[in-house]
Amino acid sequence: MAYLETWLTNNPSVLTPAEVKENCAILAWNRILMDPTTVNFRNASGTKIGEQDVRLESDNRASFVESAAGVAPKRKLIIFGIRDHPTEPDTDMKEGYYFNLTADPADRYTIIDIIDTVDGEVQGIAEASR
Amino acid sequence: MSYESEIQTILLADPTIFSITGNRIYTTSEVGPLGITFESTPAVFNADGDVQPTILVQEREALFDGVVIDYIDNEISQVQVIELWIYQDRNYDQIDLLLLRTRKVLNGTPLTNGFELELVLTTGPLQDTGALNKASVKRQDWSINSVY
Repeated sequence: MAYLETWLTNNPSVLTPAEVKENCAILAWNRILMDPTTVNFRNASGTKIGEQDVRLESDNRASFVESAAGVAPKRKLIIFGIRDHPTEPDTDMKEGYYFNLTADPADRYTIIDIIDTVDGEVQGIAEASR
Repeated sequence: MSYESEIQTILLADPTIFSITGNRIYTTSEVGPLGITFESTPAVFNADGDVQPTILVQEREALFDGVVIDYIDNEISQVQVIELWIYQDRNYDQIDLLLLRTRKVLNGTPLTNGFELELVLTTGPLQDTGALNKASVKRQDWSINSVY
């Protein structure tokens, strides 16, 4: 690996880490544009933060959750957004944000986790239980 | 009439409580095993899917305490807890207003075939983990002694 690191350091045509992130973001944005969904997240205080285009992939498994209020199916979604894109703004997505996927007011998803370890991309795991 | 429906009637008749909840005061027997859902109780949700201030009255099974046992009339004393589950979306301000008011309205109120309601406890802030998907909730427990 020492040879490769030396080569990477000395070769001026190699992309910088920032450029790598930008390229990853461009690819991620292209994947979003293949199947975009416009969502309007609400932050923890309930304020709508504005529409954003993301890609949603659903988990087709469901399980029951139960409380005093009743029983409901629990489902998950993965939300794909971008960061470090050269022209598009970073996707604003945080744990605790929530949104309605459809016009059905009961169809509410809450973001329970954010994965930001992928260059150029941010992924959110959202969960619905209604 | 069960205790939970009797309490539901008392709460609906209070103008302060009604001004916050409207008709959204339900009993467990009313909403059935699936509970509060968009299909069974659409009035709970506004157009954005927010949970409007709602009370669910749920009575637990009675515990026979053996304080009074009458072998002639076959009567036994019992204590029963009735839970008020109070919901709203994301905040607790309306819940707290309702809790203050239910305390005033219910404390010392006798129910049919029972003695006066006594406040047992009010929980701190909780989040629903089931059908109402992280709605804010607090619970207030009431107990009632009766002999029959």
